Amino acid sequence: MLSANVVLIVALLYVALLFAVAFTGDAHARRGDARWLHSPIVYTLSISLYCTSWTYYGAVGSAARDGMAFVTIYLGPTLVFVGWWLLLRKMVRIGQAHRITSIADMISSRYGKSGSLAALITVIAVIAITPYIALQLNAVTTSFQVISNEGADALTGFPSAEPDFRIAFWVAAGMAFFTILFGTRNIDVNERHHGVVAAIALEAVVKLVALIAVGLLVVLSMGGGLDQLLQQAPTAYLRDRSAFGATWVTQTFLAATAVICLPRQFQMTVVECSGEHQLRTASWLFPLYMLLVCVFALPIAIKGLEYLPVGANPDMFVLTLPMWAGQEALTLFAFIGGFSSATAMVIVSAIALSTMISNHIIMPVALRLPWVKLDASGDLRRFLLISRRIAITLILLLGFLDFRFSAQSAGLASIGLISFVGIAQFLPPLIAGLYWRHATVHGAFAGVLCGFLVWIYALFLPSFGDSVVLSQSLIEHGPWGWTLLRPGALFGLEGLNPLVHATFWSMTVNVLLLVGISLAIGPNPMERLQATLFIDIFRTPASESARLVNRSATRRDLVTLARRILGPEQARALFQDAERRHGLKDDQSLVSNEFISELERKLAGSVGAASARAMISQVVIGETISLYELKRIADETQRMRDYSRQLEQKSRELAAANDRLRLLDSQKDEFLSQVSHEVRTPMTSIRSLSEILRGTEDIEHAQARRFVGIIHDESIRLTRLLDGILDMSSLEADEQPWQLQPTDPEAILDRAIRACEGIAYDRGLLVFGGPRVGSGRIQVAADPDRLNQVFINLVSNAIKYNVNPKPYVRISSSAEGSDYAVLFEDNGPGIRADERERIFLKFSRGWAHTRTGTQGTGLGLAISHQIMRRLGGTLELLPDTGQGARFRVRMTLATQQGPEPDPAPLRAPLHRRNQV
Amino acid sequence: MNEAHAPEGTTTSAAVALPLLGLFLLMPPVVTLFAGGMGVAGVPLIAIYLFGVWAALILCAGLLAWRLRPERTRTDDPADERRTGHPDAA
Repeated sequence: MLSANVVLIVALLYVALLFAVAFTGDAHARRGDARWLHSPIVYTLSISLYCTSWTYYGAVGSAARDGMAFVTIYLGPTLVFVGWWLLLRKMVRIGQAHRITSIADMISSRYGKSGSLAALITVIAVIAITPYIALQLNAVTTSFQVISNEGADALTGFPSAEPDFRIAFWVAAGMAFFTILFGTRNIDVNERHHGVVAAIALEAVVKLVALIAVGLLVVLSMGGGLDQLLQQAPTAYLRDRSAFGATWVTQTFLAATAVICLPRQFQMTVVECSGEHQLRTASWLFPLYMLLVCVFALPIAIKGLEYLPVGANPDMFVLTLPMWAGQEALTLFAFIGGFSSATAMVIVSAIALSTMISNHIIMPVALRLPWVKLDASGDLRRFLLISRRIAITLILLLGFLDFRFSAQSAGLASIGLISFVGIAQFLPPLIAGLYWRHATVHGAFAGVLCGFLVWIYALFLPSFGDSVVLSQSLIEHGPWGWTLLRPGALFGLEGLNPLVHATFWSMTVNVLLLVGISLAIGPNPMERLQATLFIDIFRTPASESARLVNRSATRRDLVTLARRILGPEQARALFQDAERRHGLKDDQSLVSNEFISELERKLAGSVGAASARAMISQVVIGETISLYELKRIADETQRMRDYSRQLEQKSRELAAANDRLRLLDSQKDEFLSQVSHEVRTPMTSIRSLSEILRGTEDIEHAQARRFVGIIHDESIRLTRLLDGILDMSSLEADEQPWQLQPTDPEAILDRAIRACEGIAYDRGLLVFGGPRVGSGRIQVAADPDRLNQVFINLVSNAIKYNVNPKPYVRISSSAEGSDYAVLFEDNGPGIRADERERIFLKFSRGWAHTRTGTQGTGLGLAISHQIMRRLGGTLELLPDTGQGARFRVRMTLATQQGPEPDPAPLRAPLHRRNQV
Repeated sequence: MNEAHAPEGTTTSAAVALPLLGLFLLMPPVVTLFAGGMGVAGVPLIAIYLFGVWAALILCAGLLAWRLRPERTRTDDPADERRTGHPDAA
């Protein structure tokens, strides 16, 4: 057996090592080369303080008592970390953007930086955590007494006498000293404690290695292999289906909640987090850590039940089994592992709770005291540090007193679970705050308070045992004989495990009040602002708040405030930076919104959002929240969506315009090359013929005449082409109104048809009239020559490009009301669908695909279209009927002449040439 | 949006689905299916099942963490783009 002195010396040496590690971590962080402290592995190990002495000793105890149920305590956190993308990522992001210092700070910030909500959460946290701290003191004390016990009954795992409270007291005092030394060294802007994190990470390694060492001893050297061990085991309890009912679900839920809401877990996971990459690694590494911790719990439990005396304390199996095996060094190591897990939890809990107490209870009270007002001098940082040190001492004292005076009868696990239910009251306002815009501070406050009261009444007070706080008759018959209000069976809900019962009712009350009151009383502007900043954290940076809150303050007041909270050096650096960016020079100059918001966030990193806001409020003038801006930001998502839709539309339009431009460009190129070609052919013949005429002395007269004739014809052809181009450009450029005169369109139409007879005859084509108005009946205002040009163009097009074996062109006209219309139909190939749109554009030759060998200038229809526009009429291509093309010219009649359509349509074939 | 791409849809969807799948597998009634069995080589079936699911969840989470690493996904923080001006037309 080990002597008490040896154990004590080893424990003290280990503590000295922790101090050294913490000191090194702090020193490195201060020098700025703390990269190893920011590694994801150190982060994960520091989160592993979730596994306290409750885990270290209690998991085995729980496994021995209830079988597999112990894993629920680790499955819940596993699910939370595996699902980090959903919740933890958002919490970490918010924690960094808004410099959140604690769980109370996060919830109260979200609900409009409410000081009262923060204070309530702090009080609940302290009440719920105190028994948990007492539990750790209990575990350390008991394990110390067991390991150094010289009596014969050591293996039962029960201390020989009463717990030695002197040991507990000195352990508590030592932890308080360590916590104060490394936890309140400075008021860090980001509330990070590098030294503590380093020490906690080391402790995490020690406890894991110790537990695995004990497990290996059990499996390898004592049991003769795992399978044999399990076969020996009284495993009836492992085959019980009833273990997987409401208790299973409740414990998983509570553990998942605890890993999010426990102040110490929040401190390590969110506050000490320096980047998302840490969380990403922890998402699988932390569950792996817990798996390793749990994997040997079952073998150790079974072995303990097998070998140790009947009635031995299962919570001490981890320690008593190596003792039974006579492995002294391993026993000592196991003790150090348990010591590590207890101290880690107590230290971080004390830091987290003291931060909450000083930021959310002491500061707000102090701000109301006259001597803390801003016009008085004094360093608030010293005050904050002292208040935190006092809070740490107080918390450990409370834990010690709880241990000293309450009955420690229940197993380690059940005490921990009772704390978990109290802490679980923070979950509804937290989740609602991160995902539901309408959650309000009134709902959150009422929900948390009433859920907490239900917890106190239904679980916390009864846990002290019958007749200790609640009288026997109250527990059995309810207050004043109201059986509906019995603590163990509220509203007649009987037959449930007290844990399930209390969890169900406290969460029900909490959620109902939160939702009900939030729906009844809407959020105030400050809450809406914070809700937007928190819920849309991935879209809205924290600096957005500067745009929403309008306020101003003088530079001098802010300098005073910053110097007192942040310290002179930090304050000077901050204001020098501000001078550069915002041009603050004069002491009396008013400071911009942006800088005030930035300073408020900086202060919040030290004293919490609610206190920071209270301090800023003391010095600012005229604070208003712009509801319009708030609404605008709240609609951010909508805006982004609208914006991207507009972008898409614009880009489609641009693409269409670009296509058009490209088409026009290619048409121009095509036209230019065509013009060059058209010009070149006659020019070539003119040139060669004139060269012959010039170079040949004895040319025959007839020959010379013929050449001159050709030159003349070619010149005319050239002129016609150039005329067309000039005509088109003059039509386009010249916007002078034309001199119009009353004209008979029917007569002009007849003239045009006659002019085309020649080419119609050449092509053996039938031109016939449909119903016609007839000449001499109506008049339109027009330029007769221009109108003639349009008609000739339409008729000749219809003739020239018609490749039908039995080609015809049908021309009809009508006058209805004040409208005069002429229709040109043919049975040619028609206009291709992709050509229809640009048929009236310059240089587009709609019949290019007909390959009749006839090449137009590509200007005819464009010119006609322009002419009709100038004449006040229209020229349109009628929808495709599948046979030929149909053009219609429409004009307005000059006078109302009551036209009578010719009853007998003229169907006389004008020309026909016999052909196949 | 040159620097504001959310991670691939399937990966983030899987990151959301994984804890739900874990919840389904670890909660009654599914878990009770394995409560009574004898298991392999004397190890109770329920222990094999629970630790197996647990290990599988860790494995999947590790895989997802690897796929969600920033050099693959880049940031999905539009705040960055607001700081640098207008989001570029994608």
